Amino acid sequence: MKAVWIVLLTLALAPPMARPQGTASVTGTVVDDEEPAVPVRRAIVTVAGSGLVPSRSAITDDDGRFVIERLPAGRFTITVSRAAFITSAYGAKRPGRPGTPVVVAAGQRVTALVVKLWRGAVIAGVVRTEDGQPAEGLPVRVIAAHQTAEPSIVTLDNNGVKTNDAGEFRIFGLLPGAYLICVTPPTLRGTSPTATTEAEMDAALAALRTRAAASPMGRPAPSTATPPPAVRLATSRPFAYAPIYFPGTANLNQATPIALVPGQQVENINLQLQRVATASVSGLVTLADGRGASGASIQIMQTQPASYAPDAPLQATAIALPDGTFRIPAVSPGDYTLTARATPPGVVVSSPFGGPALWSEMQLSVSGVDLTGLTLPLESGPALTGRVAFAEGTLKPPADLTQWRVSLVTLASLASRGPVMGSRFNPAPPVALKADGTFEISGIPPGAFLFRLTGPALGPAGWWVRSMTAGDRDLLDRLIEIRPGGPSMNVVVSMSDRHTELSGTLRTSTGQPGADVFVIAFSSDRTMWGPDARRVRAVRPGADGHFSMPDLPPGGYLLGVVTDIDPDDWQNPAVLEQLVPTSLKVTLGEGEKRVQDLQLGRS
Amino acid sequence: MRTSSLVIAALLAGSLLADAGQRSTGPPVLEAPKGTGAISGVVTDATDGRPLEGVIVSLGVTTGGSITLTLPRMVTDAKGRFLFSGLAPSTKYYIRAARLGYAPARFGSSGPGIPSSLSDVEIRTTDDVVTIAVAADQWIGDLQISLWRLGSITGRVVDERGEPVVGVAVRGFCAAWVAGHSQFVGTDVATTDDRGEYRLANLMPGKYAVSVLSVQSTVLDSTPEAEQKRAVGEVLRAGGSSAGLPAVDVDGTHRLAISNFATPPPPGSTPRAYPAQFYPGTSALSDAQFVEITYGTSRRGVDFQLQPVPAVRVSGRVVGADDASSQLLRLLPVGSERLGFGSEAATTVVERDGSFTFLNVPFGEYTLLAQAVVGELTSGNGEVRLPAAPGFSSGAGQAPLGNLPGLAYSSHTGTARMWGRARLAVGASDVTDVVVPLHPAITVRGRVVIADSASGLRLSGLIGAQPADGDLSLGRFAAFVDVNGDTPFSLEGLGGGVYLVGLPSIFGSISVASVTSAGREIRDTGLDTSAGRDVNDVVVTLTDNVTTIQGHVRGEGAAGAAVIVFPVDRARWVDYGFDPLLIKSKAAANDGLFLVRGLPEGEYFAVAVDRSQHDAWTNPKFLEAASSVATRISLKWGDKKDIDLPVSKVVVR
Repeated sequence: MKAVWIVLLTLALAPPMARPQGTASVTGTVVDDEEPAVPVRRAIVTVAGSGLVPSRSAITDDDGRFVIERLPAGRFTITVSRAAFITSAYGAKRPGRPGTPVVVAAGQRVTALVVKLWRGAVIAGVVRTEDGQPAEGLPVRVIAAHQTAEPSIVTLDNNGVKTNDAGEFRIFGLLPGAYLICVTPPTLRGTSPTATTEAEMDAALAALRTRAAASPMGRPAPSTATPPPAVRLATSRPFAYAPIYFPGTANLNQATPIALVPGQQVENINLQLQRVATASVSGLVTLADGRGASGASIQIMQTQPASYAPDAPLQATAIALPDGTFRIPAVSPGDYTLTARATPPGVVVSSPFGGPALWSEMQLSVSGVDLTGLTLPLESGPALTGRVAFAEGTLKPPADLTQWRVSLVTLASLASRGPVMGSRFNPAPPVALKADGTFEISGIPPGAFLFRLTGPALGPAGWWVRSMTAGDRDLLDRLIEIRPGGPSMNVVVSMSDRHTELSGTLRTSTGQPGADVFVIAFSSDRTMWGPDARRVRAVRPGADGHFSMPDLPPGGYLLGVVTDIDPDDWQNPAVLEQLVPTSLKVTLGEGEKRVQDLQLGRS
Repeated sequence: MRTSSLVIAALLAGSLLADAGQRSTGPPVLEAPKGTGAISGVVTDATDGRPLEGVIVSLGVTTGGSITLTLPRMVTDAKGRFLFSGLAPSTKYYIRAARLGYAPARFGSSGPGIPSSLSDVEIRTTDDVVTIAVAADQWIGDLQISLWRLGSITGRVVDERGEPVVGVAVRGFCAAWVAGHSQFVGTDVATTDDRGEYRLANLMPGKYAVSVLSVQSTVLDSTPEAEQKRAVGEVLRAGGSSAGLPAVDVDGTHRLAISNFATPPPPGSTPRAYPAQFYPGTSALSDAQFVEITYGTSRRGVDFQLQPVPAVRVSGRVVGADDASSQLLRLLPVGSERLGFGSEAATTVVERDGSFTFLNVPFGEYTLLAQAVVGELTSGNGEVRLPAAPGFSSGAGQAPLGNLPGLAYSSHTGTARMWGRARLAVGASDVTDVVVPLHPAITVRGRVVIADSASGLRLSGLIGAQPADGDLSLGRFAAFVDVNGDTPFSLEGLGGGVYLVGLPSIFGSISVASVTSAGREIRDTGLDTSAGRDVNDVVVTLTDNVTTIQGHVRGEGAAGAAVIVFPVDRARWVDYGFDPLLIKSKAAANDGLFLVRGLPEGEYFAVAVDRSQHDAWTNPKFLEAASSVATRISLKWGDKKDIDLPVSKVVVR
């Protein structure tokens, strides 16, 4: 899916076209999700699609009615937005789901469309400090806790809500679903503050009073032979504020998701900040010959459950001293991944990212006690070398391959709607192909990656990636696991200009166009299911029942129809397994344009 | 124990980094002091005197003019106590306290600083920092630090049917003294939630006008969609983004951008708009009722009911410019010209042929402004703000104004560099054929020279121009110069008005000896650019042969005093821009010692007052009252004057 998305982005950068104007029109009414439905006034209705750039928008009147005129013929999606509501599409069965495109002929007047607008759910509460006072100005984040297949993918939602001066927060317009709430306390930059007990403060002040009593001015006479005793707060400990997850835990694994039905308001999500003792983490980064790796970068990141992986906040970074030692102060309790990166000796680096690199990684657990003497032995990050080969066909291979880019991306970066936090070690910046189509990605950090290729001549009328192999392994549909010291790989990327298409028309049992459903095609090879799979695709037929899926890789597929499916469920093998018995087997050959009409509900 | 240190160069605050004969070579790293001195005290709530637990107390050492270093920090115990021990002797310690829900404060300061979260990075000059002297073995006990809770205003916004209006921008405006004139300054922007409720928080004491903003932003159909959404009015949060609503079609050429304002009824045959509304239910700032806020006040029920009113189309053309396309035009109600972004009744951009159209303008009297630079003063911490309009760079500068307590400024620079101004009245029918004369932005060029340098002064810093009367709609300009002998400078983008040219921020070790243009001295009177022509002959003469006034505040209250030095010439009590060259206010140390450096040659008054009046000089009436009890001083360049001052009571009537 994402590969197609990347291609679409490339097309969208084409120069602006003349603004299409026509004589068709669409009118209708926006209603809310109450029973009975109430018209929604002052909603904004947007018609987009069929090259209509910019899209057309109108405001609903006091009776919820809208009119959009001067439309050309085409296939359009109609979406409605209003603050505190979920932006909803015409024909959607549930909030946040895709809608049904509307087909408009030249001059046609499409009337009486009814678009349902769901009210968003609300999460509200109060954040307090340790002593019960309102905690002002803290960011409150909502993390969608939708759990899908392993490895799971999660999306980040809002980033910008902060508590007000009464400690209150209110997040509205949420899609139904399960959410984790996280309050991120202020990062205490610079020196970590220390805390002490009342008893020790009493003792220290008493010692100062005793000392001052020796001289009424609070200052001993210069002739005092013995220096006054030093007064120290011996047991004061550095601390930090831990991020707090509802219902009041610093440990993400113990966070309780809040389940919301459409429009639900949950208003008692109250949280209290916790002070936690911090510890330092220190040790040595070594090169292969045992010498200390001067200048190596070290980062420590909280290890989080796979299902929330993209959200791991970066805890801290450090640079190794000339002797290879490092120290990261003030680490909160938790499980962490400690990663070190260095440039191999003798290599001159022009960019902080990419290029040859040495890596080391270790897991550790911090619990308020300083960790010392850790050793991080650096090993070479494996290189991925290869070439892009173009099959003989009707198209000429692109003349300038240096415009093409190959990259390794993490699942997290694909899944996240917001910025991916967590790593300063950019996995692998896109690498340009050489003129002969070869490439080398070096210094890849530890992790699991998907391979991606972008280029100007990719697309429905150009080239597509048919396969990517290393020896007899196909890497294109599987995660590529990279470990420091692992073997380097030589990869052949095969490009084809023979495009497949699986299309057809869906009809109901009475012969009407079937529109309010999803058509889903998924590989008959179960090993091809999973996150971001190229061989799983779901589309919504238009109002005329027509559906089309271009550029599925050749192979065996199952074609099914479901009334409603969450986009994330396409990636869940368990859901696909349930669809197998009711699906139709089809085989898509190399370059085949296959038409497969479907009829629903034959009994 | 080795502690890390923080270094904030004055340059970050938009001021000047100057050094006589030498440059700093990197951040000084301070070892934790080893000694036998100690400082202890208690932090309390300023309103009820209750000790505050969990306050982060930072110990710092001030070095040089404006660089502060932060030393160890600790958190107060359940009795609000803190203790720093093992301190080396120094006269330059200072203490800062911060706690969630309170404005941070320094020991001895007259009031809270600009609200911020628990940030320990402080960018300030040291003018009002009270330093604490600790000798060997000395224990400074029982320091008292008060923390203030700031105020808030809450209310609800509904429409003519009583339905909540969601996601609309609400802003407070508080009168502040700017360049000796009372001017309204906007707070941070709040938006209404799904119940229509808003909360303006972190309000300093004062009287606030509260407004539901409503800008009718006209964008062109040909404008890229992403920019349409970014028309004036999309509220931004630091570190966050908002998706924005699409602009709606009106006539196939123009669109109306909604963003963070009330969505009007559909623009049909009888267009209507929700005009901006000041509490309670008025469209003019002059009719607004003020909401009084003191420390810790929560004022509820500042509610609004919006009413749509008939609106018309205002169109015309600009003249006097070859190509003004994409120039932003702002239509501001008369009296709201200085209120900043978001207070326009309508905005639009000039089209390729020089024509323009404002959609959905309610009836009223307006000032139409075309600006190359738009600036505004704010009293918030900038976390929630309105972005620049299309065509204005988003890299807006926002910085504290060194000498305007509690205020910050931001400025946006346009892509089309034009200035223009027109008045117009809008009634019940469309207005056509409005002609707006534009003139290109003015460039001021000149030289910076250094006079009478005893130490071979070199400096890297900013030369600037600022509106003399504090009207930021004229912009604020600065150019970086590396002065070595006789150095040219150029300031671009100015409008027509009176600007003070010189150092945009005043620094103790250097001063402005003179500024001339066309053979006239203009340092204190300003450069008048209203003729609309470039100026090429400005000479700024700097000197490091600065004056020094030092001494002690004597008598009762000396330890809690501030010293204010101001010119005898009362014409200089106003129209000094944002950083008065001739007025200084300094907190005395806990032993009464004070030091005022860098005032130019001239006749001055000096007065010591209670520290709570540290910032009172911004009001000319205070200077009037203070002049009758002040000590007169005559300064020549290079003078070092020793004076002692009693603490005076200055009452402003």
